[in-house]
Amino acid sequence: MTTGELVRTESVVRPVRWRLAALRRAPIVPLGLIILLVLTALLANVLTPYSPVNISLPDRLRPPFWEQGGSLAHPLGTDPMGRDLLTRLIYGARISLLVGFLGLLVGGGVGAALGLIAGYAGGRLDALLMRITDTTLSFPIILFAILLVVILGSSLLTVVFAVALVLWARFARVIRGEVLSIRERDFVAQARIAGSSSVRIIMVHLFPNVLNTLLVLLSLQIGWVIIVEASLSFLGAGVPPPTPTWGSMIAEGRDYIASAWWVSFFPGLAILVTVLAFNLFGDWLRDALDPTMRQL
Amino acid sequence: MQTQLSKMPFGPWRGVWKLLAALALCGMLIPTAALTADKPTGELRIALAFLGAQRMIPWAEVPSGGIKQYQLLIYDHLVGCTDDGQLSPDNGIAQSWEESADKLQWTFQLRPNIHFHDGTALTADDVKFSLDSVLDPKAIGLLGPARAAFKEVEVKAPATVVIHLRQPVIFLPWSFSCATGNDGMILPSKYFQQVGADAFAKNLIGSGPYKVVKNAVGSLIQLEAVERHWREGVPKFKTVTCLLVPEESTRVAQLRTGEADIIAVSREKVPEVKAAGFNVFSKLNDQVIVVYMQQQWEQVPVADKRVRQALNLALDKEAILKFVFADQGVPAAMYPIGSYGATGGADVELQPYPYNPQKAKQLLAEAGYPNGFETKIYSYVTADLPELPRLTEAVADYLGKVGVKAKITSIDRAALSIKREAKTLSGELLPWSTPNRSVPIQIVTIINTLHHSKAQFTSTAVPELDQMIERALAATDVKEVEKLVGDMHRFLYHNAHNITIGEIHTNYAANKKVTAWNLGRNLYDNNLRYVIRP
Repeated sequence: MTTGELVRTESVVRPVRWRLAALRRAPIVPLGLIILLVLTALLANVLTPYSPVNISLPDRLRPPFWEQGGSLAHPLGTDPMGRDLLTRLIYGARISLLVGFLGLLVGGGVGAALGLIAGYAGGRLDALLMRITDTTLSFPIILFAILLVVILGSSLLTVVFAVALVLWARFARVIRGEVLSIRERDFVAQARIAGSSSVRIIMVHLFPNVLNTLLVLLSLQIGWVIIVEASLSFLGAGVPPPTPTWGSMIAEGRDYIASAWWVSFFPGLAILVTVLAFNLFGDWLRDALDPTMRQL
Repeated sequence: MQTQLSKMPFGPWRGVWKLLAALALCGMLIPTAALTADKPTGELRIALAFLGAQRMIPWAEVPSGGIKQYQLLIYDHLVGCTDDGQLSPDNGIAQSWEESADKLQWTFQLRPNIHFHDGTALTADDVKFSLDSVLDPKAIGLLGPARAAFKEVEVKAPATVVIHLRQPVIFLPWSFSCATGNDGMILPSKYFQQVGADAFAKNLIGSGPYKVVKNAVGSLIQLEAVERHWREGVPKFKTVTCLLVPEESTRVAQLRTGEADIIAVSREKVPEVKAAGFNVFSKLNDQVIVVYMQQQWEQVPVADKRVRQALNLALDKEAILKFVFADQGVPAAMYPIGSYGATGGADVELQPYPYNPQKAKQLLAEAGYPNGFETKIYSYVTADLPELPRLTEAVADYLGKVGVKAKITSIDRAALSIKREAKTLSGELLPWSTPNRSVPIQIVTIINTLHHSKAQFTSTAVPELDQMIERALAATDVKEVEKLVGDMHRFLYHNAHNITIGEIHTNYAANKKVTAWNLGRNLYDNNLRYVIRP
């Protein structure tokens, strides 16, 4: 056994077999939905002939095709500005996924890094970072995002920034916990004795051993990020109009709940299905990679 | 039982005693009923999309956006007005007014026995204090640069105020009338100066039919009726509560559940609330809708007349009025003058700019913008115009089709007013509205407020227009003022100083508590006083 390898004991042999079995039981439906969502977002301009932003006032508030007055030209109906609802849903997926991935990339990256450092360093640095983490976690994200919008103006980047600023704390806390349990292992001690620098120990020995945790966290948090983005857009603090986002589409339809239910319903359904798909996928991934993380 | 009755003193006279008892009971009830009829009862809850900054001091806030509506219940104006927008000596603080022969003085005789809510009498000192505050150059209001004509406000007697002028102002009473803005509202001088503006705003005192009992900024304003008002008599409702409810769907829900008795309702919601059995009251062609082009004197694309004309030609106003405003409006030639202006000297021959995007692109190219340009257009919530965010999107879309990329920026209306006053909106676009005006001086006043180079909220700095405005304000003949209104109308039109959309109706929906309501013709006012009258 060389330094850096995971210490395999009898206690983990059964989980490995279990994990292989779990991989064979991949959640087809959630995975399929996620793939469909990503493909739809990527191929939006191929899938629909309509622009998501250009208005057509005479076509406003047309119902879905199965309702009286609807047509297959606009299968899910149109919004108050006459724009095709299905088109805006498809383009809205881009924003949701973009914010999700960018937010996770930045927030998850920063959080993981700080969690690794805090967990490995310990002492005052750990205490300081965890106090900052606690403070960040207790701050209401919506208020935070609105403040940022006031300062920076509403834009996609502002939303990503707002999400990342809160998200990092979630990652930092969990990763730090994992590192605390790993840093006392023999291979870490041996690396230290061998003269490895702290950076090398973190990157070569600790990081690979928290990667599973990180992947699970990423998959579980994306649903949360999508809901946060939708909430900010609903409140008018997200991506400004006319760019379609699911949250702002729900907001546009709230004056028409009684007369044109489809305007708010379909983007709400899209959020529900997307978040559910990612959550189910994340649950499966957690079980497959490390069932001991079930508390997440 | 019979035995007990026969033993009672009134025995065979039972019928008489019963009659006497009944008469005594009636005698007690009648005064009680009369007393009850003389007291305000119940609560009226009004849900509005906007309450302003709720500063409650007339010269600290513009009257637009619904603000004057509730201020009118708290304060009285120096000069009264009728429901149909005319001056009246019967319902203002001044019972008469007179212009001097040299036209450089106006004398106002105040009505006796008007008291503020704390019981102190309203005197000429209070009128002087209030007018001085309005005439302060730092004050917000409709007078603008017209303040330069005012020299002094003099207290000649406890019930006599004389306004001295540097030049004639033949329409002066209009400026301080409830027919116009909130500039003529009278506040208690001694109390205000004693406590200061901030403390006054928290515990304010007026002389109107209602006093403020609660002012929760961003939430509601609660008013309580005085026992008897010198003009309105005994107000009908004990409490009037103005609720801030920016969401129209919430307002409609509140009307349905009884949480609100009156709501501001958008044009397209009118059929829905009517079908639900509610009363709808409309003020026809009440508002003129515009998109301002700010700070046209700077090095911005809208400094060029061809660009401004192009932006007017780029919009399909009929489609906007039909689909955004539910066909409850008509195009107008040039803001701020609407169809009412025909009686005030407006040029009725001017036609609205047609929808011609090709011509728009051509003009932009001639002006040096063949590929258009970028700017911002603001979106916000305001009372009486819940369609504004959709209007903004529609305008941005039409402009985008001719190459002008207007980035939609959401903002709070109060913050936008601050930016407008601070002139930090260089070349940017602002949807707005103003009441439709019929009286020449009201038209001149609004043009002065919006287009005189020295005005707080001006978007233009054109010496020729300034001169026309100043001549109109100083004119001593009504016919001359009307002629100048026509000249200014044509000037604004041919130079396309505003992107004019059209004029639209204003609607309120109410439950059974309000079965009749004349919304009137006064500016910035939907005549809540009619509703609270006994």
